[in-house]
Amino acid sequence: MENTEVHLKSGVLSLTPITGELGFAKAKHLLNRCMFGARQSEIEFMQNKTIDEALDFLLQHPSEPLSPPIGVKSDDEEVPVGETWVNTKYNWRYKSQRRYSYNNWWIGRLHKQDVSLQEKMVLFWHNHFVIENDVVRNTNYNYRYNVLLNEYAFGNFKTFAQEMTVNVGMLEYLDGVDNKVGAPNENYARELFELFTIGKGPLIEEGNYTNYTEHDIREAAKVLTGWKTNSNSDTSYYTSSRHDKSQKTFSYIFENYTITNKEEEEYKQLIDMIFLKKETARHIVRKLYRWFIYYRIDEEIEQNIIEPLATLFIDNKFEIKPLLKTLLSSQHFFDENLRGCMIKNPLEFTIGIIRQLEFPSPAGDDVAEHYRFWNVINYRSANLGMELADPPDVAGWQAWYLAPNYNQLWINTASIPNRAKVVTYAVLWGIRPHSEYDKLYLDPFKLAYFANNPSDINDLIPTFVKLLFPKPATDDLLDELKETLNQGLPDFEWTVEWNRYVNNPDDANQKKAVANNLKRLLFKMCSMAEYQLI
Amino acid sequence: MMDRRKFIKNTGAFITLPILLNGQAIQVLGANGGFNVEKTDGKVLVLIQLDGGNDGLNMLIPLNMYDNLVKVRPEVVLPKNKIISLTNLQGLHPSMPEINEMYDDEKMMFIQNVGYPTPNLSHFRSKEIVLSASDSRTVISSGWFGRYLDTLHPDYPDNYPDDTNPHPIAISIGSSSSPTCQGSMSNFGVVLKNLDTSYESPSGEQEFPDTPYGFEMEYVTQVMKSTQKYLEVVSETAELSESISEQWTEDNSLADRLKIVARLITGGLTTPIYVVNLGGFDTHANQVTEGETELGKHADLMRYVSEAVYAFQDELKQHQKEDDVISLVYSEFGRRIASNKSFGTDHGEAYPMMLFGSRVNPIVFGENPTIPASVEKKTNVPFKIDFRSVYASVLNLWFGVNKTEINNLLLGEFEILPILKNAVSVDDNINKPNQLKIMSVFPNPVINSAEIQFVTNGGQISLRLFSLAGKEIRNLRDGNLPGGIQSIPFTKKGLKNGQYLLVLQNGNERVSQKIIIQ
Repeated sequence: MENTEVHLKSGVLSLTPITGELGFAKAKHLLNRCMFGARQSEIEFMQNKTIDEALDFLLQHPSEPLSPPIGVKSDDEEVPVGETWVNTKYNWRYKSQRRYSYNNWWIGRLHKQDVSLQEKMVLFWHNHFVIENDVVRNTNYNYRYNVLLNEYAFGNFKTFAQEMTVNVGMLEYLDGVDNKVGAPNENYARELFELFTIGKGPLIEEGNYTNYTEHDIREAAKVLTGWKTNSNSDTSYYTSSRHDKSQKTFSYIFENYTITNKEEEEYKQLIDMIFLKKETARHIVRKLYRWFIYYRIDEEIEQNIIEPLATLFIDNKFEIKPLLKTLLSSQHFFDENLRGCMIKNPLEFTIGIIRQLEFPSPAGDDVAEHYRFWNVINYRSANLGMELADPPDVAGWQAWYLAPNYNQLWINTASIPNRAKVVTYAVLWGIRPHSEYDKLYLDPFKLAYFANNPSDINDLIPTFVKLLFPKPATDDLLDELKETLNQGLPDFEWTVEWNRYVNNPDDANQKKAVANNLKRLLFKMCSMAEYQLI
Repeated sequence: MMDRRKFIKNTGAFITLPILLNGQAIQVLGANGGFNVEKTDGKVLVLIQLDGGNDGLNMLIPLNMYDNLVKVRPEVVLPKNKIISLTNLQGLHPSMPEINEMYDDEKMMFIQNVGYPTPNLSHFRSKEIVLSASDSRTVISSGWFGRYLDTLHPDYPDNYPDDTNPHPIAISIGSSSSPTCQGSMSNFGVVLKNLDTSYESPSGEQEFPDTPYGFEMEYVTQVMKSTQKYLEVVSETAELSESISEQWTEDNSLADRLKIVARLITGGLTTPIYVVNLGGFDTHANQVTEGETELGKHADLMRYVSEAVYAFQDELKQHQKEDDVISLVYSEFGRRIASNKSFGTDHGEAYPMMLFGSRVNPIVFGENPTIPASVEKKTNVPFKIDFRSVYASVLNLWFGVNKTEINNLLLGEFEILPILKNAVSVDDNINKPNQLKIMSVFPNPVINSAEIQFVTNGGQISLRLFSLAGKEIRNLRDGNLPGGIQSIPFTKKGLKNGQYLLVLQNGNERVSQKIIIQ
């Protein structure tokens, strides 16, 4: 179990659903954990719903089907700008153009996400069934992999694991294509046990990792022989002559389970075998817990949350939806002590600030400009330690597995100044997607009008706090923020300034002065520790 | 909110007393009653981590086993005529001429067959084991160097940096902190991507509730505050120095990172440890180019290492900093003896480490691994040297940590290897460990008189008694002594009752022990 020298009050350990209308605070908590930055309008849309209604809504797939990435570089001679490349055979000559398109397309989906759990779960699965596009260069394969993540975002985990095993991207990434009779390659087999399904347990004797053994890895590698990828069709296929047809016998851990030659159906049986073990369910439940609630799992949480959820997961034949619904509607999930304890990952931070501050998107239909804009977000997120489509290794980003710090790994002396830079661009300097395009600027008045009475500093500031911070502000904090907005003047001066702007809409200087004060406030708020947390 | 200071006291019983030794401010720390003088000042350890598991058999080639290597790893074995001959028994990868030059120049040590019992072939678990210095059945969440730093800085990060500790305690180059520098509570690593970053932290004092939210808020706030201070000192230091070596090469990420380290060391940062990584060593497939095994992925990696390490050492030399720095090149494990059909190698066990610097013992330590003429797919190079022996040797010989404390830090007793030049003569038996220590003060507490027994490496020694306030009280012995066990009598005559510190110095090595006069 975890190292928990520090005892924290972790709240109600109950999976019983909360009741009644959500209200603003709970709706915000739910959306921040299920999306990338909850917007004011989205929170307002959710706040009058019950948790049941809210989750039914979030667990729908997006209204539009997944539309493929678009080529946006004129030096890709095979794919005209504005058309997709996913049906054109991959050509390494255009690898950088296609990779640019693929990565930014994905960023764009996060930016333009519906009110849905879809993208948060796609990212969860990307961090679970990792492939790196720095390793798998073929963007068509990356796209096929991405389609699979989308299809199973909250589908059946067991079927998902089977499909992933023979996915073109995965076969390339973990050397499945090199795995053949007489020359087994254990790479995928090892990660299948260690990371993707049952998880590694303590090493109890040489080659025995409690939940599986080195022998099991070798036998599984044999089961998985025979698969190749076809770069004309971007599909995988099975070749009987490459398959190891011998009988595979697993260790005592799997009750010496045997798999006799079933050709291309064998891998499914392997997955079936691993899913017979409850530890597989526990492993995924723990991972989802860390994704949605908090990284500390102590004995009590293990017993009262993880274990019943694992049972529920198995009872529902590894369907993800009922599991998520129970977890995300629970009193535990909404416990006050556990709200605001998640350090935003870099994508939550960059996409979140753009969405929450209503930062404008490029106007017009120039698809290249949109991709440019997303590329800025992508670059900034990578700078903070998280490059979408290219996790550091097969275990995914360390913040989700490396004890004892987990989430805290996002925050260090390198990332803190870089987060501040993101805030500087988004709030103060504006973002120019590329030198040939206009710079885009934040409109702080949009946010000010979220307040019922923006001319009242005591309404305006709490409105911002409510949207941007996980907890209500203390009096000290409110004073500090007032000081920033009003530069030490008495409260009524804000009203005077604001009304002067409202009553003289043509006075550009007055408008600018009010805007600058609002921006200074927003800059300060988004630079604070509170804004790093959801 | 938990109190780090209290936490440390409850669990570790460490005592911190600032004292002055010969006018220099130092810290005296003790665990379990034994005292230990901090002496990291000036001494630097650079850790170069090769991520993914380096194929040692293609880096340091056991030439006497070459014929069998051809048989068992036909896909990846290097052409004999391309291998650089390092010694009559060991060859080097053709991409490493600079490493060969450093060996000839007596600045490079190889330690063969490094590993640990009951190996774990998972990257993640094995990396945890190697960075935490646990045995393979125990999960420890702190890093081996982090635990050492815990003893020196039990209050970290409260009020750090300050006038006493203005510089980062540890530095990782990259985008995340190294688990090696993870202490029991915080990670000591300041993370740097480049040298031209600045940051202004938001103001405000706060109380943090005893909840997960409060815990994370406190953490983020703390990092924001120290970031500003550390980045100021780092950029100021970097300003004081510049890269002058002409050996740095382009398009080499390890070189880029070591260049930053060199700037900081030569600029005068007192940080004792730097961690840098180079990834890409998980060469399951296409480790070599088919038919031209001296080329390919691994060859590129070997070249990066060789060029970067060479330039780094040259930079230190140009700045006369060579004697202050040693660097260790290691990985989470080696690779299988047999190659696979994908022109790669799978996860293995033991492999050779490299330790370099002007002070290291420039030998190939340990015998060549035995390669049978035929092996099973799963056969591995068995380990002979526990990686924790290397850590113990660094702590003992380089940082002057006494053995009792090392046993605490590394959770067991490990052999001290002759990793430094002055630790053992080239002709000497390589198994003879460095001996400098105060063996006993008997009786202690001292009622009237006592006998002090100690072991030296020979040469100039001094044995002095200090008050805990750092004042020299008595010079007990000063002069040239042969190596080995020495014994001198000691009487309390003229000394007040109380605690004192006995300090034995031998060359650059220094050990100490607390004594009580009653």
